[in-house]
This record gives sequence, C-alpha cells and structure tokens, in this order.
Amino acid sequence: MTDSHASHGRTYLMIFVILCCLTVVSVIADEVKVADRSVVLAIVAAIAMAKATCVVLYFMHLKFERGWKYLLLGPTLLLAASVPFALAADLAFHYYANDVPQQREFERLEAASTSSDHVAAPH
Amino acid sequence: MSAVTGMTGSVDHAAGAHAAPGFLSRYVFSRDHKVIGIQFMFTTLLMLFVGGALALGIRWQLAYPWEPMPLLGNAFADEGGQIPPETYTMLLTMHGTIMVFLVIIPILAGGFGNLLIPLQIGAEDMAFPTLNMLSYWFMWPAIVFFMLAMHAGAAAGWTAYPVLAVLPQAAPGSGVAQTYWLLGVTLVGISSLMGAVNYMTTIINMRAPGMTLFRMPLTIWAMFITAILQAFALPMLTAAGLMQISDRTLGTCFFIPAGIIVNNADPTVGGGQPLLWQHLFWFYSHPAVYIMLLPVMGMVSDMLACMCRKPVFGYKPMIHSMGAIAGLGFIVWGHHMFISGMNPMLGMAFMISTILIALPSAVKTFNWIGTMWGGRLQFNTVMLNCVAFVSMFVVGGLSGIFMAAVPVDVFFHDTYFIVAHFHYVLFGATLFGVYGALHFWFPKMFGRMMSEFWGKIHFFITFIAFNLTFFPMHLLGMQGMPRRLADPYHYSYLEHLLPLNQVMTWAAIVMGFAQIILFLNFVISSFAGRKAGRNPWNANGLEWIAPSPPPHGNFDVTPVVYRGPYEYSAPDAPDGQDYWLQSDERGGQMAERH
Amino acid sequence: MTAAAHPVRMGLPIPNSKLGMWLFLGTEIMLFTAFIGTFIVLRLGSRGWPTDPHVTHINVWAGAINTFILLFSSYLVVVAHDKLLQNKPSAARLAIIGALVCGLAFLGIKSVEYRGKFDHGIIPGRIPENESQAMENVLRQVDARMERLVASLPVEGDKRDVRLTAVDQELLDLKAKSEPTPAEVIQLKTLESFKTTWDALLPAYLNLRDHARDKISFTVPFAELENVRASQTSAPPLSFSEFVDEFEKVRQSDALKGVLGNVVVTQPIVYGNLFASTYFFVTGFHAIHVIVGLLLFLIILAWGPGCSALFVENCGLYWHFVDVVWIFLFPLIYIL
Repeated sequence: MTDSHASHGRTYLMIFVILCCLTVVSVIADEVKVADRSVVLAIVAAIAMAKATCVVLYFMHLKFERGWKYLLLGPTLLLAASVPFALAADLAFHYYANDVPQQREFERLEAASTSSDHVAAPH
Repeated sequence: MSAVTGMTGSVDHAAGAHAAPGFLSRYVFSRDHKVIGIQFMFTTLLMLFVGGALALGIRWQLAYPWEPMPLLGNAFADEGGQIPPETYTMLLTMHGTIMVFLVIIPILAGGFGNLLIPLQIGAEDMAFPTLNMLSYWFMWPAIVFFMLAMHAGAAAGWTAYPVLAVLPQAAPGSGVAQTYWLLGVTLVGISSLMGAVNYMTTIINMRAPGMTLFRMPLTIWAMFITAILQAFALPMLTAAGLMQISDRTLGTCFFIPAGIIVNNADPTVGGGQPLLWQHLFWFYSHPAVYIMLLPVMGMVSDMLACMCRKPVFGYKPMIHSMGAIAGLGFIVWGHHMFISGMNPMLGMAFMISTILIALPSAVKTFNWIGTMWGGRLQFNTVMLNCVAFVSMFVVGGLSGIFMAAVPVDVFFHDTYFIVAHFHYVLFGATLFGVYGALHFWFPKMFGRMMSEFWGKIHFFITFIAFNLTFFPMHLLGMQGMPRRLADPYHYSYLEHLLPLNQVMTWAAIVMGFAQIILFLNFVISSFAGRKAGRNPWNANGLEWIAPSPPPHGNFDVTPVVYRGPYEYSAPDAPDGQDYWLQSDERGGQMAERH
Repeated sequence: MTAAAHPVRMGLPIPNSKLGMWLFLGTEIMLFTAFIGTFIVLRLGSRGWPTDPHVTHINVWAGAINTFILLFSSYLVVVAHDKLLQNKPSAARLAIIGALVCGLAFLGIKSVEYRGKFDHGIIPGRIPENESQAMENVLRQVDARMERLVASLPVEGDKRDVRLTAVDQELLDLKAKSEPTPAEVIQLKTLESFKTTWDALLPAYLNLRDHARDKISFTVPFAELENVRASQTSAPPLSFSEFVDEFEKVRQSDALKGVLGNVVVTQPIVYGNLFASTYFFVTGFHAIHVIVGLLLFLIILAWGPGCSALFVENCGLYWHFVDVVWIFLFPLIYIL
C-alpha cells in the first residue's frame, strides 16, 4: 500500500515534458518544408504513437495494471487499426473509375497550372 | 450496488423486512435487474405485435395486390384500405426495423440478459443498476422516434442506404421520416451500449465465489460474447448514424456523391461515398446478426441439457465456437455488399471468412445433437421449442452458405431466397429459442408455471405455419422474385407465383394470430398459473436456488459454487438425484482461482 | 470443502467502476475509429483534397497550442489524483481547477478557429467547388442583399416587383405634394436614397449575373452579350479572378459600399465540402467529449474534499482518452 501511494509526481512531470518536446518536434517537421511529404507523414505518425503510448502507459496507469489490459486493449486496437485499412481497400483506392465532377475539376486545374506557369507558388 | 444490499441485508428478504419502495420506484423506474428484464420483455413482446402487423400488411399485398385489406387496412391507408406503393415500402422498412432493433436485440440482451446474468452468476444485481435503468428508458424515446418515422413514411429499408435514405427528394413525401428513423437507431444504440458495458462488468467482476469462467453456464458465456460484440461493433453504427443525420440536416456530405441528380433535382454539393455507409452499417449489423443469435444459442444449450438430463456435449468447444463466431463475425460484413459495387478483391476475402463461420456453427449444431443423443428427453414445450430452434437453425444456416458464395449470391441477392434465409435464422431459430426460454424461466420471473397445454398448442401452430410461410420463399427466390417489390406480378414471369403467395399469406395470418395464444398464456399464467417452487425443472444453475420470484438482492445468502452447471445424471450425485446444483457443497471442490 | 467465512468473489482486482470505465473507453475507441477512419479513407479516396493552409485556413500553431493545453490539463489531472492519494485534497482541488481552465481555454481557441473558418465561408454544404459555383455563390448573396433592401422599405406589398412599383408610385405622389408633412419629407428622402442605390445595384447585378451565366469576359459589354450569344461567335472566356475584380469594383463604388460590404467571396475549393464535413465533424465530436470532461471536473469540484480518489481516477481516465484522441487528430488535421 505504502509503495503504491508514494508520489509519482516526478515521473508525471517528466512524461509531460517529453510529451511537450514531441509536440514541438512534430510542428517543426511540418514547418521545415520537406519536399517529400511522406517523410513528414512517417515522422508525425511515429510521434503521435509515441505520445499516445506515453499517456496511456503513465497517465492512465496502464503500466501498473495486470494482464487484463492486453485482453481488453489488444483486440480493440487491432480492430481499430484494421478497420481503416479494410475500408481503404474499397473507398480510398477506387476499383471503378472515380468519375465525379471534383476529379474533372482537379484534373483541369492541374493541367492549367502545369501549362500556364512552371514557376508556380510552392503551395 | 453493494450499498443497497448492505442496507436491505443479504440474509432476510422476507416481505416487509424493509420499507417497501413506492410503486414508481419498484415497477417503473426500478433499478432491480429482474424488473428491468421483465420491462424489456413486455415492451418487446408489444413491439413484436406491431412488427407482426406490419408483416401481415406486406403479406396481404403480395397475396391480393391492390385489394383493400381487412381490419389493418383502415390504419394503413386513406383510400379504402388499399396499400399504396409508398406505404408498402414503409411497411417493409418498419417491419425490419422494429423486429431487429425493438424486438429481437432488446428481448435477448435486454430481457433475458438482465434477468439471467446476475441470477446465474450469483450476484445481487448488476454492477451499475442506475445505468441499467437508463438503458431501458433510453429505449422509449427510440420507440417514439420509430413510430414517428412510421407515421411519416420512412421508406429506405431497414438498412437505410444512401442515396435513397440521405436525400429527402429521393423518396418524395417521406420528408423528415429518415431523420426520425436515424434518431431512433442512435438512441436504441445508446441503450444497447449502456447495457453491454454493464453486462461485461457484471460478468467479469460480480461472479459468486467459486464461479470460475469455465463454470459459467453457456447462457452467461453467450451473453458475455454478445455484450463484447455490441460494445465494439455498435459505436460504428452510432457514428455512421450521426453522420447521416448531419448529412440530412447540417449540410455535410459524407454519403452524398458528387454530381448526382435525384428526381430532376441536383443537391449541388457532394463528394462523399455512399458505399461508406454500407461498410459502417454492416460493420455493426453483421455482428448484430450474432447478437440476435448467440444468446439464444446459450439459452438453448442450458435448456437442452436440463430437458435431456445430460451434460452439454462439448462444453468448452461450445464456448470456443461462440468465440470463433464472434471473432469471425467482425470480418464478414462485406458479404452483404457483393453486388453493391464493392471491390471484387474484398468480395473474395469476405467470401472465405463467411464460409469459415460454417465451421463453429456446425460444431455447435452437432454438440446440441450430441447433447440430445441418448438422453432422457422430456417433450414438454421447452424441449419442443429447443428442437425447433436446432432444426430451423440448420435450415437457415445451410441456405446461408449459398449466400456466402459470391457467384451464387450475385443471382440470389435481393430475391426472396435471402428473405427465407434470414427468417429461418431470426424467426425460426431465435424466436423459437425465445419461446422456449420464456417457458423455461417463467417460473423464476413470476413464481408460477406457464400452461403446458396452451404452450404446446402455440408451438405446433406456430411451427407448422412458420414453415408454410417461409419455406416457399426459397422457391420464390429461385424463381427470381425480387424483394421489396409492391407488385411482383407486374412482371409476367412472376405471375404464376400468385397462388403460392396466397398460401403463404394465409399461413402467416394463422401464425400471427397464434401469437395471441402465447401472449394470453404469458399474461394469465403470471397470476393464475400453477405455483412453482424454487427449482421446478430440477436444474443445476444458481438461479434455481433463489426463491421464485427472487426478492430484491436475489439470494438468501451469497451462493458458493462448487461445480459446473451441467452435472445432470451424475452417478455419484448425492441422494440419488439426477441433478447436482452448482452450489451443492456435497462432493464439491472450491475453485483455486478464477 | 473449505467454504470460507468470507468467500471471495471472482473477478479482476479492480473496482467495478474502473472496469466499466475502461470498457466504455473501448467503445469510445471504436466510435473515434469510425470518425477518424472515415476521415482517412475519404481523404485518400478524393484526389485533390485541400491541404493548402491558405485555402483551408488551418493554423498549425493553434493546433499545437491546443495540444500543449490538453497535455498540460492531463498532467494536472494525474497530479490531482496523486495528491488525493497523498491526502492533500486542497492541492488536488487546485489541480482540477487548473485542468478545468485548460479545457475552457482549449474550447476557446477551438471556437476562434471555427469562427475564422465561418468568416471565410468554410461551412459544409456552402462551399463552391468550381468557378461557376463560386460565382453563383457571390450572386446569391448579392441577390439576398437586394431582397433584404427592398423588404426594408416602408411600402406596401409582399413581392419585390409589387414593392418596387409601389416605390415609384409613392415617389410620384410625394413629389406632387405641395406642402408635405415632416414625416412625408423623411419618407421622400428614404425612397430617393433607395432609388439611387437601386439604380446602381440592379444593372451591376444583371451585368455580373449575365456574364457569369454566359461565361463571357467583361471585355464584352453588357449590351453586346445578347448578340454574342445569338451569333455564337467566340468571345473571351470569363475567369473567376476577373469576376471577383469586377465584383470588387462594384462593391467599392460609392453608391453600393453600405449594401455589399459584407458579401463573402469564397474561392472555389475542390472537395471543400467533404473537407469541411470531416473537419467539423471530427473536431466537433472531440469538442463534445471535452465538454463532457469539463462537466465531470465540475462534479468533482462540487463534491468537495470528500471526493473519492477512485472517482477522480475514472474521470482522469476519460480525460486522458480525450487527450489521446487529440494526439492523433492534431497531426491528421493540422499537419498532413
């Protein structure tokens, strides 16, 4: 009892500082204009995972819980992570041609920007 | 919750031992799981009649198209009782909606789950009694919204596919009906979610001493797995429902495709994906099929073992196959979408996972047969209904394999073959199981027995009429008769099906009126039935050591469990009895740990 | 055999309420899976999704500050729980108040962001997705202003035409009066000033509308439009920027400044409506969860010093979950 009631204040503060640093890193990753956005994607996704893990393990005390945490969270997180993939197979990568007005407008704009001015704005 | 039992005492529950709560808090806003369970049962039985009346409307139109409908016709239409096409669409929409969302799901999880979970695991009540009460009372606004939707003419089917459902101009005259419908679904979902969290907590943490996981009756296992399915699949539907509500009212366009023209009107904005709704909807509604089946599977296992005086054949395989059904249930939703324009590669994956579900289902079926094999079968109403459950489940399960295969489904989808399939499973299996369970646990609910004579009459009429109604639907489907068509005989290739449809309709009418027998039997027996003792069936479960009906707090003393729930006809049982109560200390062994 | 005097219930070594909270959070994970999954697949499935901050008006710094605020409030909540366990209720109370203030600040920044989006016309269902829709959008607003202007006049009639005829008639009548009362003088002034505005507004509106309808550049005068259309000769096409320039000229003219001042010119955004739908829906539902968390904090504060550490822990679990959701929303919405 005495052991579990000892103050975790220092640990919590450390975790908070780490979380803030990670946030700053992800903002910097955005502000530095890397040409390849997938690098930014990888960095911020990894940072988000790391931050969520910190919060769940320490703030939500999961590090100190017993085996039930795996039974509860394992299947849930697996399901949660796989649903977007299952949906993406159908909705993000269209099997049939996605012939909608927005696509035609987008292609028109792309054609216009490449033909008219080659030195387009970076955005 | 422990505070309540602490005050009322867990030793003396004699009437008048503590101040009786007022009528309102005792029967209406009750926090007692048994009262809430019975409230759920009455409400859902009431809704069963509403849904059944809608079904009779559908059947009348199919047998006597455009002829005035007797009795119900007055309620359905303004012009001489004739059912207009929009009303026909409303009828099939609300029939499906009410039967799924307001009858089968709540009677199983809400009704029997509430009644049986604390009793069978030896708890005084649910983990969160107030949440339990709220879960029941959230159903009423849902009912009100569904009734409003019915009145306004919701007409997008119980699946509410966009674009038909999401654009008001797609179904002229329906106005806000689909918005009401969506609100109803969302509220009934919240009710189920509250129930599911409550059941899981109760089953995990409130079991009586000695009630290890593998000493729990299969009913409890089934309720537990059902609650898991509800808790983790239902939020998807809630999210999707909220998105569709906002599409209809706030101007978002999650499900409105771009550039669509409906009824010569252009909704101007769009860009969303109608298929997204189908994915999210079936992500819940396929597991919902197992939510509508697993509890009955568990209850039938309990009843069969008791009525055959034999242990359940393959107790652990039963649990594992229920787990497998639930697990697979999360990854088969796409088989509802084979002809929706889904990516064919996904179709292949979903076909394989769907056919895999046949394996655990077959394991369960053979285990039920194995349980009956060589037992001392008592053909009372409970047993008859259980056997009907198993046999109808076999028929419905086998026709399901047809639909699982993409090449076959492409032709059968949206014909009456599929209607036959799901009525065999949902009515033939689930509802017969529910009838059996009503008779079996009725003495625990009211302290009296239901009439055996009227129970058998009800069973035989229902069973014969059921098969006469639904078996011919296989034939209709193979002849190519489409679902959801107000007048199929408009097409010459379906004209010769009219006489068969008339036979089915009359069978359906007989079946509908037979349910009045059940209702009267239920109501009259509850105050005039033969008195039942604590254990009228000589069963093993913990619920049978509690008084009938159990008082607030359920048990005289907290029971201690010494063995599994199915030790019937054990040779070494004390006093030569053919049952051995789970809490019987003699020859018992305390569990080491959970 | 060993039926102990105090037989132990089966189950996990955690209280019911904490188990229930964790299971509830499991359902919440699935709820946000649906929202975030929808966001991801719709975005991946829509080529041309708006990402430019000048178009979407998404400010990464606002998101970063909000992330910091939520993290800090989460930290305060664990500190509060820690202090309660150490039997320091007043320190715990202070920490909870801090978390409450953080939550309010989060909502404040969020509402400023929403306001900014509304001001730029980023409202689901109202965003033009191509140039002709953008022009229609402007014209619709001008038309609404005209309708309001006519409706505000002190004359009889309910249709615009009827009221305009009534204005002309009344102007004639008032001018004909030799000795008008003071009220009639004011009426005359009002109507005359309206007439000046209207005579500038109507031709300007028709000019904009017909050019937009025919997609013909403003280099072709209004009077020629009919001929060009009839002869089907090729005319210079109209671009949205030219339309906006022309509209701004109208808007800046002395006669119309007061009337068209607050018309919002929204640039066409491909997939703008879907973007706005998902943005507002996902962040909106997160904000609703934040509000629920704040209510929980209020309950803790109202409960006072006797509040159980378990209750604070459960509320904390919920609040950290809200925080975790934001941790994923921040990169998804603000960075990618």
